[in-house]
Amino acid sequence: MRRSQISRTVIQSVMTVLTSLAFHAPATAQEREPAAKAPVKVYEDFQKRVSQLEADIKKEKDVSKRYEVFLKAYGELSALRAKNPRQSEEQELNMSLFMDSFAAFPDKKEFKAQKCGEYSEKAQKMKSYDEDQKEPFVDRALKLADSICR
Amino acid sequence: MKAAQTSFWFYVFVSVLSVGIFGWYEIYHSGDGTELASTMEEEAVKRLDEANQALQKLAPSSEDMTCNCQFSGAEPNTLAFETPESCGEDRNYLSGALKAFEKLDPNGYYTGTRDHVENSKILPRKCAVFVMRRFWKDRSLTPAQKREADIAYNRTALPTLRRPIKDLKGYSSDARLFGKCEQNSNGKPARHGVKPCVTEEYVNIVYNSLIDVADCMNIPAKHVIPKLANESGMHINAYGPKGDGGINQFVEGALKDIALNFPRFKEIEMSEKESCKRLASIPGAIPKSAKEVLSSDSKRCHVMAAPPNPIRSLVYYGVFYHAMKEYSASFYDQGRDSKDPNFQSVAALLKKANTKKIAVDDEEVKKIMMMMSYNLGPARPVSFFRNWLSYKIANKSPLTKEDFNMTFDATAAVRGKPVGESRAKAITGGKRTLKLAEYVYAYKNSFYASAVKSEGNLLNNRMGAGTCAEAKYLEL
Repeated sequence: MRRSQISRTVIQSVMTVLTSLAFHAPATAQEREPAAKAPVKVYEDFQKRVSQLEADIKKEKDVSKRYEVFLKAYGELSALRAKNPRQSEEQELNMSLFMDSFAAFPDKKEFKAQKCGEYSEKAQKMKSYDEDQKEPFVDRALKLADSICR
Repeated sequence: MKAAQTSFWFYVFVSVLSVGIFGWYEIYHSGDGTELASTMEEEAVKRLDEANQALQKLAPSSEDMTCNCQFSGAEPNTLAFETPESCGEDRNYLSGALKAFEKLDPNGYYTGTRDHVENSKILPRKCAVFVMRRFWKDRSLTPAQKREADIAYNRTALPTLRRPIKDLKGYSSDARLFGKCEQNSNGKPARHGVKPCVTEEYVNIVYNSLIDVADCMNIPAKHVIPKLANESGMHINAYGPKGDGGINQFVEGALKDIALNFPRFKEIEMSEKESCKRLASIPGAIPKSAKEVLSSDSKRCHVMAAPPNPIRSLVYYGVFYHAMKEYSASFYDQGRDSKDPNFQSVAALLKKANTKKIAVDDEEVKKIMMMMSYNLGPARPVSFFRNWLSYKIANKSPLTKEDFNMTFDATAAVRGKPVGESRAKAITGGKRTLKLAEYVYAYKNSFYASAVKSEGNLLNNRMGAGTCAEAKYLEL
């Protein structure tokens, strides 16, 4: 094999590996493999954590502390989804609707207790105008938002 | 060559001689030359005035009313207004309301026929005629009426075309999709099954109101018409099965959002545009406070009773349109989430999914999101869109332009499947990924944007591409 052929083969191999890495690299929520390969029961775990969060929020009397509890759990829920394979579309949609309902809620530094009502009001934009469009995960998120800001 | 030259000079000579003789004759018979010039000038001005007047009289009838359609009582491929006589007594129930409108509008801004050339730049009037005439049925029928109609039809139909006559239970009642409200009422409409007569006066009120709202509030009329065609057929008293009311089929949630955006109404009152001034001149068209925007189902006549509707309802729509546009854009453009390091923006997802690098115009996608939001609320469509992009990325399915075309008609087999994976498989046969319209139908049972798109397609087919709806409506 000539030198040029060898170097071409090496370059091709490197490119193949790099391309492969590019496709599989990141464990972000959007680039995960379809549900069939999912080894973790992400959806069940997600719901359990949400139930726990709901209970924890009820216990806290101070709004700032409630928000800290929320932020911690929110980060964990996000990581749970990001580190695991993509679930079925219905499950992904439900989890996303729950997470996206808190789009207007800021991080700890920017959070202002007196503005909590405003954040919660913005979350209402996840409601549908069509009464037939039932979204239990949105309803759950809106209830939780109200509970945080109560 | 020589013969041609001779002929030319001969014609010149004859022409000069004719003009000379004619001029001498005119001067001789009219006395003073100055008087002649003056008379000719006056005559010319008079004739121009007469021509202009004739043109103005001709304007409404010279309006383009062609279509690729056929309605009863009209020539093929021509649109025509209905008349009180042709409609029958039961369909003239809005005549009192239209007369009341005339009193509120002494200048005839809304009841009169406007300059069709000028208004057609925004939207031709024939679009309103088509949409209003096409919507639903003239009369909703009971099972007994349907059976009677079948029996009557069979009397003259060819044997092969005759309809089977069933037991009464075999016929279903038509939905009654209209409501009756007293003038200026804020109460609950009485459900009604008869469509208002599509007279010129009725069309004018609806059409002129829409033109003014479009101009005053910067609303693209050709983007809105398919939505109105789908919602109400542009009828001011359309009353949906779930209590959606008026030309925009407003429900409680939407009216509450309009009240939240009350400051936008002030822009109309402060505007120098003639269209805004005309709107503001109609009592009750613009609320004085957010509390005046009545949202509860029991007060749906608020957006249906004429007058001041359809102006009030369309002004509300103008506010709603801009609010929805802003909300949709804010969710679509969200670049980061400070509390979530794993958040992926629409832009980032589009970049990853668009491996074939097709041209994706964000503004066109936002229009699709906005149209979906009329039904699904402001935030959900973008959430669905981000999920769909993730689904495309996960399945390594590059985006295509067709993925964004909202044209989608579910077959009976697909409709019969429950929402979820089985419906998704019924659509694709498991051989490809879902387009955006298919995805929201498969997993969220939402068909709204596709229904509006279907109206846009129909308008473009029947009235000419780009005439009543944007030529590329809800697609890239």
